[in-house]
Amino acid sequence: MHIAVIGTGNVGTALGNAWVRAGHGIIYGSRESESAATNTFVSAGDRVSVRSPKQATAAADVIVLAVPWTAVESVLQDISNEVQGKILIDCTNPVKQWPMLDHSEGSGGEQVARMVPAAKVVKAFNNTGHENMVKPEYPDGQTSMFFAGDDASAKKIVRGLIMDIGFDPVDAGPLAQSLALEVMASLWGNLAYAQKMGRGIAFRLMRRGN
Amino acid sequence: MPATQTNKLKIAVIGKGRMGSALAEGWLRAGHQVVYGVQNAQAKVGGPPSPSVIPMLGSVEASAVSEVIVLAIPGKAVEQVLDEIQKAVVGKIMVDCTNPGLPVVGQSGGEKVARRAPEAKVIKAFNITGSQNVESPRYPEGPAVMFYAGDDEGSKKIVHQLATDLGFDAVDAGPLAQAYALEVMALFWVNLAYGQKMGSGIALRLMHRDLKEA
Repeated sequence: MHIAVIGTGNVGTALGNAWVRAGHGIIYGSRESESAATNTFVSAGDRVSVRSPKQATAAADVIVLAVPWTAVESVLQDISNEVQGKILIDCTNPVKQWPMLDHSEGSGGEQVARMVPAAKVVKAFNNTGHENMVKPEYPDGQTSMFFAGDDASAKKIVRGLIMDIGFDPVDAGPLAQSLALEVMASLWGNLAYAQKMGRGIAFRLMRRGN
Repeated sequence: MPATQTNKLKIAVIGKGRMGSALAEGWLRAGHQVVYGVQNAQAKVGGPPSPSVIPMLGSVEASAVSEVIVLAIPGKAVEQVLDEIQKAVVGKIMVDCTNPGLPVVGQSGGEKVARRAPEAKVIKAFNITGSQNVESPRYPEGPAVMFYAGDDEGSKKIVHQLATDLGFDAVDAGPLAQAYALEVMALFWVNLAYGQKMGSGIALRLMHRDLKEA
């Protein structure tokens, strides 16, 4: 699968590197496409390239939004034509100041869907730290990755991409559940920083028979 | 309060639904002195026999004789019950297990409880998961997490112990303002269990590792 990862920060590179290892082709979308930051990508020959966000989106089947919340609106305007009909994975969190969420305009996932109505938006990869994306496996089990969206076939593909990284996938329902996924991200950030537990923490959904 | 005095607490569980019963039975097993606070206590005597004998008192009387008051009633009953028991909870720990509808930042159920009972030390806890998990928090792979939030450190230590007594992995989620997150987590659990049809046999766990070794 051809995946455009828009954003070359910690989350974007953690996801991109993991998917390269799983055999996918990654096109990073970056405004500084030739910057030194590209050296941190897993070297995998022609399976990794860096282009503008617009070109990356045009060349991919799945677009992964991994930019700071303050950049979301302008990036989506930039790729609005190219993203039509495609799966857009929203990894962002609507924050004024991390981890303080701003839900005054509704969940970030739903705001993203309103900005690019012709894309199939699935919320995922927003509810844990980037270290957990590099290595989702803990001594006690796999980290759970919750995802939410309204398009069942898009969610099936996202579930596969979640499993490719090594997460335990949990379908959290419709895109409106983005609010809970973003609150979970904020809770993770609070525990890691304000509660001083550090970034080596992860949520796992345990199951047993009823 | 020194830890030795937390070993046996007088606890009033206000509400005798499935959640209240799970909490009360669990704490009784852990050695605490538990009473139910219910409305019309007289009328309920002679109902179906409980698996253990926990006295049922009126809400005000139950609060008056206890050190810790646990609110385990439906969200819509909160205001009325708080007004009733207000004088009996002054200076005491009040554990708010309730869930409002959709919580609003800055106006979470926990913060509303604190405003309605300003002289109680309000700790949000035991609201994020189903009563089945309160009855039995230990899963084959480990204990379910129980987040709590509040502004009084001494009270939080006691609530931490009460969560541990039931078998939870007790985790301090910060100040009472975090009640918003805990109430969203409660809705999320309900969504997964029933909306997503995973059933009530699900629980969140908080895993830890040393990142230097990861």
